[in-house]
Amino acid sequence: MINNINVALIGNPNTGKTSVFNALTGLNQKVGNYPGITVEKKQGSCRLDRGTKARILDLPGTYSLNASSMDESVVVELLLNKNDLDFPDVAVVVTDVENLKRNLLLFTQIKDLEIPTVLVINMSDQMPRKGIKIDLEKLEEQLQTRVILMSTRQKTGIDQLKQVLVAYRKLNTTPLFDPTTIDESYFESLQKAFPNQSLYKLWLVITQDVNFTKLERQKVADSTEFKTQSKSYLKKLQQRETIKRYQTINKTLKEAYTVNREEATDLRSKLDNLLIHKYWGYVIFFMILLSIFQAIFDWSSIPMDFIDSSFAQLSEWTKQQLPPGVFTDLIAEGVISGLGGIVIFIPQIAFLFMFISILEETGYMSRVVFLMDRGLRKFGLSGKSVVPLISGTACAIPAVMATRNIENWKERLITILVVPFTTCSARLPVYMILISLVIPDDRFLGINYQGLTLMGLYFLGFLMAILSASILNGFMKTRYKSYFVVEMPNYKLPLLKNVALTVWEKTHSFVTEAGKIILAISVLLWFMASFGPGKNFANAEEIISQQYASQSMSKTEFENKVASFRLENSYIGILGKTVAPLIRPLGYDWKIGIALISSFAAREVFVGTLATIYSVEQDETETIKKRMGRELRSDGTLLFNTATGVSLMLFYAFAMQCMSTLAIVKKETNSWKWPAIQLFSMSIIAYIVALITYQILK
Amino acid sequence: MISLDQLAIGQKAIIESIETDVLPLKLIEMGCLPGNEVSLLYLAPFRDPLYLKVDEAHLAIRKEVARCIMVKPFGDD
Amino acid sequence: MEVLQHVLASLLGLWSLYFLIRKFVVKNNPATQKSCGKDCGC
Repeated sequence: MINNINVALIGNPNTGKTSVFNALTGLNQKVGNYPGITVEKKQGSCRLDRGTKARILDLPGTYSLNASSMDESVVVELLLNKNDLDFPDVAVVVTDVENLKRNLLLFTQIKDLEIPTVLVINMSDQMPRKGIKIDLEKLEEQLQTRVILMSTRQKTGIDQLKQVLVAYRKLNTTPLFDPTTIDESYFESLQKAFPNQSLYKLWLVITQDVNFTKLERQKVADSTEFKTQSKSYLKKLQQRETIKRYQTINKTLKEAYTVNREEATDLRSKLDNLLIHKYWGYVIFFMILLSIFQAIFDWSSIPMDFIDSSFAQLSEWTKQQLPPGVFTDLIAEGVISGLGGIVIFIPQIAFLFMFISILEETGYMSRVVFLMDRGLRKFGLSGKSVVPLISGTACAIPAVMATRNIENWKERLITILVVPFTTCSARLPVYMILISLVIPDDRFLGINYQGLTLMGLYFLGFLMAILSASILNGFMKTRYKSYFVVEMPNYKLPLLKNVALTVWEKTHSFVTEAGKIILAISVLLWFMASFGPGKNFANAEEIISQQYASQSMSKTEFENKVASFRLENSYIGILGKTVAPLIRPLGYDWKIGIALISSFAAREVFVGTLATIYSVEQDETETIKKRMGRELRSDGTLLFNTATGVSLMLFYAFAMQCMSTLAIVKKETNSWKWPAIQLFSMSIIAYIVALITYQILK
Repeated sequence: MISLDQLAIGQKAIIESIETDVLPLKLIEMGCLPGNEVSLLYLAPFRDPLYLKVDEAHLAIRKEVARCIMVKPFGDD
Repeated sequence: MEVLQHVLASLLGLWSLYFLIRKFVVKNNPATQKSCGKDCGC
């Protein structure tokens, strides 16, 4: 009989908590969401000994139980809810040996919840270098629990932790801290009102704005006495609690923890002198950024081409293997090409998050936040907006999710709203084909015009994001001080395992979040393109054979003509014709209209749709390009001239054509208002810019 | 006594008092409390944000928050 | 055979429609109401 226990990993950010989690669980982990909210939930399992298995929950990093973000609320909610399925039998507080004092604040709070709590002091391999000595016995006595020195880098302490976890029932659960020392009269009357409850738990229920089990909330809400205390008074008490806790911790560490600074060597100041230098710091950052983009482009082009051709072949193969019919066509043309549209972005997303994760793991990202904060604040953004803005070049969806650690709501909201302007990878195929059509393949001073245009479009995306941020900044008023605290962690070599798991996690969540939406829309678009009202659609073959009765043409040519005619008379074709008058001033015809509409699933669908409309046999870029280059307007001029091409590029640069992003923005802001504003204002901007461009250039 | 943003780079000080009504609790939890030693390590351009070492912890805060923390400098090393 | 193809295709289409509607319309979970916390302005 195997005994199952629940273990929760808790700790400050930057303590290597995730490394401990990875060391314990390896690949036996699952990333999901907490029900109803977009906070990541990481769970894994681990065999402790022959008879015991642990379900390990990696809770979001937090500095204390006084929650100030959604992620932190999750921690408090779980630890106060005994009925939760994930409620831990034993809590493991992971701390960083160098910041032990600050880390212990959270430890004392968890310990006071009367949950068996183990203290893990991580990165213990750093102790000799930093001149740190710890008297474990004294520390265990003072903290009344087991303390484990661990180094995930050198793989020490993990087995010891497993042994302690097996015997968790032996751990002492008496609280360390007596809340009555904060304010005697307040806490004594609170205790009198609820004699059987733990004081610290009551206190958390009163101060934390989180969803507790109905019962607990009810109990406190009933007693008017505690509700009447003003918010600022409660905040004062919280501050006093923190100060008192620190006093106790100082006393504890005085005896058990010594640092000899002479033995410490300082890598931090050497690197900081360079990396946050007022000129070199910026130069280095932009160099790193450029190399990252260059690498992503170079490295992902090969797998992307491979994916592209594989899916085309798979679609063909499916058509041949399955019995012919509607469902087969749907699978081959709707589902498989929809899947291809998702999978094709995986290389870029994976590489980008590999780099971002390395920058974060090394501690460099915090320095970038420090460097950029002042500049970005002018536009209503935060230094912490850097990560979302960079992530946005892969895909806006993980970028929107990356805004969560921006404390200030206004800055976070502005970041979310402007992130879709950055040039995401779905815009790339559209840009590529348009650039090769309308921008001359010439060089100026050795610089290729086409490459220059693409780079210009990337800059334009960032510029537009910043510009619209500053406009939004002017409109939004806030009563709140711009509160911003960034920890500057030590420089570390990144752990391969952590980087790999982050990449896996981000890619996985992109596929499941955006993938399903793109797939569903692809299926619907297929239906709209494959069926149409009226006789024209149904009798396409007859009509075409009548029309071209005098001409002789090959069978495929005839079939392509039929497909093209069908599309024209399908539901989506009718839709395209309906919007045609609206987009004519931009230089587009109804065929481009269809491509614009289907781009709402994912922008890169543009190319494939045009291929179908122009009845190009294969999804071969070269042939689509040639076909597009031949397309004429009714007056006999070329459709894809410079004016139309540039106007289209700018339209794609600015328009909000991504349903998956709208869905995630709705989820993150919890309101329809913001995605609606995004959709309308971005589309209007795109329309106006494209209109002006076309009218000037034509 | 001066406010934290007036420290020179490299200067050390003891935190004397904090404006408890405006400061976020998080800052206190990260060690910004009276009696602790603080030193200013680096400044971003325009002296904002400030890169501090507060009682062993390294963190960056904005100038407007630093103005709410009063410190007493000591030593000139 | 043809009937089966039509039935399967319709099912997949309906599922997609249902999925999108559910994604965009429903979902008013109380847990999402509180947004982000106290120190921010929501």
